[in-house]
Amino acid sequence: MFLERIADVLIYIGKNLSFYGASATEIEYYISKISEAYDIDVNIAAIGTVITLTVVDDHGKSITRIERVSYSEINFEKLSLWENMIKRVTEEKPTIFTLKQWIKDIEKKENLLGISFWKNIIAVFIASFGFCFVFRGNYTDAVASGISALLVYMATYKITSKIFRDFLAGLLVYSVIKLISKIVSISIFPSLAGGIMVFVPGLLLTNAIMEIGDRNLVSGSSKLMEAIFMLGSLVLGAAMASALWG
Amino acid sequence: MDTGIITRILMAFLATGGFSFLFKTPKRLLPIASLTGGLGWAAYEVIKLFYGFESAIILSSAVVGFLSHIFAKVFKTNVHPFITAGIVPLVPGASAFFAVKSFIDKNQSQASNFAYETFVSAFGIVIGIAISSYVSKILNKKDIDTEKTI
Repeated sequence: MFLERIADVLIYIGKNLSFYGASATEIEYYISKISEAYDIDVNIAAIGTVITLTVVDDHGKSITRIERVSYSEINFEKLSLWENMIKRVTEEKPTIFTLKQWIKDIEKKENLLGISFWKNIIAVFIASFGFCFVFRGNYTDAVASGISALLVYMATYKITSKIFRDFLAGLLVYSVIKLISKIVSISIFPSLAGGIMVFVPGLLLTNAIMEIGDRNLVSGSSKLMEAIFMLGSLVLGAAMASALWG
Repeated sequence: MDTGIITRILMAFLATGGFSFLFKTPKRLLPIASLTGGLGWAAYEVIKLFYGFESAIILSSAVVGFLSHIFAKVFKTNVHPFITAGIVPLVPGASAFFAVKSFIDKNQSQASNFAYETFVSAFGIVIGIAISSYVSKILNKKDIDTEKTI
């Protein structure tokens, strides 16, 4: 019974860490830290969207839990809540009941951290505007880039399929930039580069390469494949728009 | 029109700030995460002037890594919000996009240039981050050993 409770709590923590953007290496590290604190033998493998965890007791009895995390949202604020809790767990070693209470407290705090859609829109504009300058665009290019990115972000905000979202984003960013270029004189390269940076799976790509570097080969390669497919969708979306616009 | 090195660094700071917000970085860490991106890009621009693109991407990634570890220690938090935001301007997202687009457009020469840039950037980031992580681990170990001796 104790073994089951431990396995349930650990897999739940792992699932939340994965959901909010922790890498496979970090999930495995944190769960191992907790198990070390409690002096329990735990084997964990975070492989892409699946977490597998086995807890073994002193008598050799073991229990395994497998959890699929099919969707994720990068949220460092919520991730830091979980990380702080893990730090506290390793220092104070609370009972399993207290730990469950802490988890409930975190979930209450999470509900208070609302996501403001309009603030996100402003952030998208600022990011695209800035990136356009970084890619050597001028002020007009940057404004066009920011406008295209925020319009496309608004249009694709609710789409949960990453592949379809990126395909549509590529198609729309190129189309909006082309439309703007018919009204004002802008350079396509920096405007498009700034506009698509918000949708490019740069983080996924970097995480994938870093995980491969950490010898987390299966997780890293699966993320790399996802990043390549997403980038491919973005490119084909823009290529289709380019063909449509002539 | 070239907007100038200072403008690009300032804009990298701004763009990183926007990205950090999208990643829901805790508010108190937002300016620091932006600063990591700005300083990383500054390192990239300066090193590129003297030692070329390849050295610039490796060393600027290492700078971002070192800064992230330092800020994480100073602000007693995880390295993630800084390193993720700081590395974003260096991630070869746009060049990867234009590489594939150039291949589709059958512009092989331009596609090869963009593809080379993408590969060098991707692997440069890995090498840079690996260097900074390794050195930070050694320094942390030294700190712990010194504390133990005291």
